[in-house]
Amino acid sequence: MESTTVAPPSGVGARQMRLEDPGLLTGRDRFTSDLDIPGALHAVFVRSPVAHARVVSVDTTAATAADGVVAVLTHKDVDVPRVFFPTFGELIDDAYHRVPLASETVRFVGDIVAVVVAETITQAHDAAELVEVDYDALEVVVDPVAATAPDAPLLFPGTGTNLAVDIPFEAGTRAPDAPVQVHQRVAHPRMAVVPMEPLAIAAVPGDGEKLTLWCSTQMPHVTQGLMALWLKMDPADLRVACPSVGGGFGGKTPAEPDYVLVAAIARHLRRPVRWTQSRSENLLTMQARGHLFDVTLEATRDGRVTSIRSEGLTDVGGYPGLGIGMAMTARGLMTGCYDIPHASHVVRCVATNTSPTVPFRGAGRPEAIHALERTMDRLAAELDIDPAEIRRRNFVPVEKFPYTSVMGTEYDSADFEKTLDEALRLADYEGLRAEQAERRASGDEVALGIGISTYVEVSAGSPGMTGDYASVEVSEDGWATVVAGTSAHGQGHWTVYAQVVSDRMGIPAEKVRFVQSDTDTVPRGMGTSGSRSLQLGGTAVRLAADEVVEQAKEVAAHLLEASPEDIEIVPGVGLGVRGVPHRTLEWGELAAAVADDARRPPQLAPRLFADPGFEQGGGTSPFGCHIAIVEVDLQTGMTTLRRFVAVDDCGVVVNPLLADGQVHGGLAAGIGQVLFEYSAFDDEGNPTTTSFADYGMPSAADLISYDTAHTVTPTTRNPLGAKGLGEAGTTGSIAAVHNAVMDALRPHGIDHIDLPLTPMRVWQALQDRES
Amino acid sequence: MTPAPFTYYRPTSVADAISLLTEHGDEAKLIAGGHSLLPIMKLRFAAPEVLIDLGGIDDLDHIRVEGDEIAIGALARHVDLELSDLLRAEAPLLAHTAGVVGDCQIRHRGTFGGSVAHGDPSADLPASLMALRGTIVVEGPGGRRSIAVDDFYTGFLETALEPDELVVELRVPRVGDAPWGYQKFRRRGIDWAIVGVAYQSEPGAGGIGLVNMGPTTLRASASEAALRSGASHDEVAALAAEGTSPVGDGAGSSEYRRHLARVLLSRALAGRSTT
Repeated sequence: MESTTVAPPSGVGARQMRLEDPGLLTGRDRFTSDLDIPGALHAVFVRSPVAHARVVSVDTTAATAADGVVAVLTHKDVDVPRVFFPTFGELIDDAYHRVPLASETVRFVGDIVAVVVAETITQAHDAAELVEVDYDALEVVVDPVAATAPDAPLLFPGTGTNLAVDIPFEAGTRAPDAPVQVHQRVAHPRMAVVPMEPLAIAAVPGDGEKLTLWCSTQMPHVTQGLMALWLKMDPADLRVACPSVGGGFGGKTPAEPDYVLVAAIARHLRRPVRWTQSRSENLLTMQARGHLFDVTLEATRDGRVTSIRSEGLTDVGGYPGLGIGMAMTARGLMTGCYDIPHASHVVRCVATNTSPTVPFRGAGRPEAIHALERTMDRLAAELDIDPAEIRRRNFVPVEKFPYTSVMGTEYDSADFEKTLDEALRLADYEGLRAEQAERRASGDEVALGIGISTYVEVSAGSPGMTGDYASVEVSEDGWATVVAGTSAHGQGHWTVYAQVVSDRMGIPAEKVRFVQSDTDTVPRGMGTSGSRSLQLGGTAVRLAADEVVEQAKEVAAHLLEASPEDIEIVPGVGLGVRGVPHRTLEWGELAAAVADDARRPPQLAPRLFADPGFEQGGGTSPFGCHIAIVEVDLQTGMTTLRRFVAVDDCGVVVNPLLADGQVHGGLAAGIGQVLFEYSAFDDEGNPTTTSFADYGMPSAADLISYDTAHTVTPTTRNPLGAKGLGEAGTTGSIAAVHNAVMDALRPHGIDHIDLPLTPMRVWQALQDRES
Repeated sequence: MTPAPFTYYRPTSVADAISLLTEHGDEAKLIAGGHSLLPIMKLRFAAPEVLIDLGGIDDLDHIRVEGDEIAIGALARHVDLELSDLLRAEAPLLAHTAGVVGDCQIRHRGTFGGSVAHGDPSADLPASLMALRGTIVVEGPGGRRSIAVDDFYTGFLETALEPDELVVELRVPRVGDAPWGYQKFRRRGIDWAIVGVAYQSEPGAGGIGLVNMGPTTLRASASEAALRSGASHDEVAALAAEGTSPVGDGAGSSEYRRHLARVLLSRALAGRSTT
């Protein structure tokens, strides 16, 4: 069910090609590391090769004397602030807050102990090898469960525990004596975020206290605020600006500890300093996920879930911080699409001697849905009810929306049966089950598996981030300029915002300029994360466009001597008088007229400009159903994805082409997590997946053409009717693929294998079963 | 990352390359396609003081018939093997194997000689060279000599090459359309083999090469003997891991690799190849 709206060529609903692509594909656009910054020095970090140790001494003598070296700095040389994110930092003991340049203790492989600053990047690398650090090893704890033991080595001895967060929750009424109970432990392993462009920054001091940070981030304004807070600067002195940004996926939200360090060093040296993260550093330090869920479902004999009790143990690495957010978000979605009257959950976050974690696509949403949907399949198996049917029996009924779950999470609108039915139809679910039965009966060595996942999530719902800024202005050349507070880094905001302008103003998308991601030119903004941008930024564009149209109508009415009510948009031209085809004024003429004191209606300002902004007040709830069809080679354990059906409902789709792109990318991340990817450490805390040789990043060669479709359940929370879609593909797909492999293996007596489902793990499970 | 500093030479003849090798000895590394060497240099796991680039030698990438054999220049790139009509007709196992190495970019840079000389047991092409009972022609200050593939690999990343020798040519028998199979089992479409098996039915009773089943490319000797004695394919496959010593790592335990060798040989014997 594609949206069937008849759209203008570049309006809402059109498969408009991306306006961003010519600049990116021809190499014209520039990224932070491409910028020409006169006189800039290059920083290289000296990182700890051991996971937990006291730093006895740092000898910088030889490095300081090396060619081109300007400074070799340790915590004794430069004042680096403690970095914590106010929202989550306040949940934990101050002792956990990280100083990005370590002093007496290092807590993970990669912790920074010194920074070499040199004239060239090669000189900095060469000198970094000459820094001699003497470490006195401390006992290491890597496993999150072991880290909670009473006798575990402590990362922050002053706190008396590694459990930085331990928050119980219970709500609703638990029915006594549930006839059926299933329990499943679901590991949701560490991943690397892997944006195509790693972190990059150039910190450029200006006059007085002024500082410009060119950097690769998803949130320029938030970065400005936090950096100013941490560096004790007046935000007005700090400019944060992004050239093109090559992906983020949550790993660039918002201000990295590395950026604080580079900024502090540039201020200390009073010279421009730049730093570009290497791919190895990126794989090592931009990690996410890392949860262990214990889920218990209680149900009636006919499969109605009466209670969910769950506990999460989240490994937040060497410095508990932003990673806590994912555990909190996961809690809110633990009941998923289901109308469950009782729930309890414990959020526990534990420090270990591994890389600190950051958000990654979905940021808590895929974690919860994965744990829940995996356990729903266990319940279906326990009761011998079809996995589609057991979900249907428990869905929140459509008449209950807006609905507040027992977890306290509000879903504004949804129709879960609609997406389930459409996905079953597209997949030919009945036919697949028949094929599966035949193949099982014939003893096929290649087992067919069908996995279903139904999901719901909340987009644009983070407290303090439920609104955004945009302005629209028409200039005398007839072009519109959109200035947006969101910060695209691959999504295509220019394109979709131009479509909204086109839709509301009749100006072709190709005549829309776009300004974003610079605190000097964008008055305010919350950046891009959590599937928020189109619904908030796009709506802000729409409201601004509508105001500009009203202004322009007054100008046109004044000039054409007509009533404003008789003025209408003439697409591709400008404004005209209804019913009088040739009485039109082009947008450029209208802009010129309003700037002219002689022709401007007295009540108007001299610009066709508006920036009312938009505050949604809360989130919206995208939802959908994903079905994965896999084949598992029982001889080798290799899983091959045969088909993937994704039916997503994000309300009104503004650009089906970009929507497909979001779904495809989201699915690739989810499929990757199930079949290929995980960040691993050995018992000593040494990372073992620090290059793409070991870290199983999939490529197009590992993926397939997906069957994607949308149902349309518009939200009433914004006039576009749009919900988020950037994370939905990941949120739905992890459990779908995981369930599919388990469905294939169930006749062989296997109930569960933890991710990732590498061929060896699957084969090992089959071996263990046989012996 | 950037590599540590090194001195770069680009000789235009094999003789010049040999004299540079003789002059710089252990401090020098030869570079052809660079797809094994450059990544480890950029990570600074390797820091040779001298690089001798063979790319300036322009008459070392031939693929031609010489009597009963196909002679292949050491600088022929994987893609040259993959797309050679001659090789596809005369030694299709080798052409096919070249097509499953790395990705498109790697196949356009990497060379057959480089892959063979690197001595990495996880490489695909040496296993097919093993199955075909090929010959490695090397040249040093004293001239050329031929080394049978069975005598070439002496240890992990170690070969019978003297420090002042380089690989100049690889020779394989013309086997035409005799049955063959190549099985590359990998986690991702573009990846090293966890285990690979190359099978070629001719000449004689044929040969079987193994990828990643020990410190070097290995011959499945027990399976070959069974094949010669007329054993069934199932019996032959069951012996695939005899005498091997695969290491265990994140991609596969040694037990899993032994199991895979048996399964993959059974598929290769049936003429099935991965693409």
